[in-house]
Amino acid sequence: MIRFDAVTKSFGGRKAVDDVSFAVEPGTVCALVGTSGSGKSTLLRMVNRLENPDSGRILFDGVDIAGLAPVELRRRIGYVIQSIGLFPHWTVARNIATVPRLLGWERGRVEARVSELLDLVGLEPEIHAQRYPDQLSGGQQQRVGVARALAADPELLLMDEPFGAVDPLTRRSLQESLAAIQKRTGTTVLLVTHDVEEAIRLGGTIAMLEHGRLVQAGAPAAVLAHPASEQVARFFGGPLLGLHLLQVLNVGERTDFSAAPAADGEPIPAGATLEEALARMIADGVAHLPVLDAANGRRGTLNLTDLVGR
Amino acid sequence: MTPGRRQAGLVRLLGRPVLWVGALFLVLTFTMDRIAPHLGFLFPPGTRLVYSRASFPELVASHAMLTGLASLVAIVVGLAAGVFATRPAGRDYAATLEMLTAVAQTFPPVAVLALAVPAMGYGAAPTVLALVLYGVLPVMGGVVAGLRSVPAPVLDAADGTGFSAAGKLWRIELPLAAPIILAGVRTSVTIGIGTATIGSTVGALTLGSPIIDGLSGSNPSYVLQGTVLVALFAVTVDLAFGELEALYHPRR
Repeated sequence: MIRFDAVTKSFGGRKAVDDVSFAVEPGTVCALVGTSGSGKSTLLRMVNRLENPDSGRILFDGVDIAGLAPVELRRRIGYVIQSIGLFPHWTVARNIATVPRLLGWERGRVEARVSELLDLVGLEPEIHAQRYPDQLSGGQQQRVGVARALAADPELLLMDEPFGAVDPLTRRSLQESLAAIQKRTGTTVLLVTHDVEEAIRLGGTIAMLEHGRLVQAGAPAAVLAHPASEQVARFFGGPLLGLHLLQVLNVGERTDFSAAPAADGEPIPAGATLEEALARMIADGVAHLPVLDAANGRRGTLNLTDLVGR
Repeated sequence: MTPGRRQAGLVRLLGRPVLWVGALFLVLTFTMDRIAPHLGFLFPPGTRLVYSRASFPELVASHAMLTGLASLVAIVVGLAAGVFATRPAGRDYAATLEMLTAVAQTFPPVAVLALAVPAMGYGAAPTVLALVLYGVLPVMGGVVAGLRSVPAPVLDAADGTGFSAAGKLWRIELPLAAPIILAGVRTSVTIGIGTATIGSTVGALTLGSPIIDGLSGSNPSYVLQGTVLVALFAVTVDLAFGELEALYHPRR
């Protein structure tokens, strides 16, 4: 969907993005991580041409975006930012309708799409459509921001620390909504975040930038299991990196299904993370959990030692 | 509409000072020549009590035309300059533009008149020129301040969602800047109404005419008539702008 090809961009002699090459596959979520000033936002903003690379190419569906008109390109790409940037003089409905209206959709189609999107992001059309942004909570505003970005069914969604400004509980709920929406729509997402948990939770792949250079890219489990450098390991938790690893592995991968369950109690689903399994063991004071793999109709047992490896 | 609600609406309407001041202004404009003869006790004996070179409605109409025309030009120029100064192409000229308009306002309108008369002759033309030069700064100041007040995330979102530069200006920036722009226009027009009186020193017909004639002919009655009407005119227009500002809440 998106291919960065030796992309470099400097601001005042300092290289913000330095010779970055990687690809984001269609229908996946790629989390772009790194510390502040690592160049991740700049890289994101080059995709919809809010910034232009000094050298290198960015291909969107195989086409070099340098040859596309910025305004048309941006209408094909959803854009969500941390500070949300809703238009304060427009109602929620009008905000969501921004891109469809720019594209000249007819009225009925726009209205239907607005209701559909409010539903999708978990807001109620009858209650929220005619409100103004300043009448919504921060979390609701960002739901509207996501709805606005998705309004014209973009092929790609760019998100720049979208949930960085809301409280942890709201952030968790927004992340869950986003994951569900992404699963349903199949939209490709490029997400900038400095929140490790968010990257692990949402990212199908993680790409880490350090001083403008790409230092590692891959599936969360691979990155966490084999960090490419000291910095990557430190970013993903340093001594606590192993705990993050528990978040990306699921129970089914470590369960012994060969024998009948040896443990009693409520079984844990095979799709749960090892982190959840560990939490259950600690809370219940047990070293073995029954596992139910509903998809394959299997039952098994997860032992505390399985968390380390099998 | 129920009688109760109609009454409430009426009360609200009557509570608006703009109506009272505006009504007083209109009534005095049309009755000044009948009221003034009864005010002889205020002035030294022998003073001619009613200004007669032109009727008061004529003076007001001419005054309104001059300031209206000058304000219109000042608004167009100020808006264009303010928008230009905040565009990427014009940002380098912003300081120069602001300095130029500031200089134009520092220049006393009387001096502009004195310099313009040899080139443009006596009458309305030099007056309008002086008023335009004087009126551009508040408008441009309002436009620049208003456009700069639009939050950066809103601009970023407008760019990111694919507004064209013109679409962004027209549908996002100007509506959000409107209250501050309106405040600048209000200042410009209100100052213009007062300043227009000096146009009468070069032969323009304004409410300044009785004031200037009264001053040069030692006639305090003329001075009072012109002063009261021009003051009421300015206050009425200022209050009307206040109503307009209250009516327009882009962010509610």
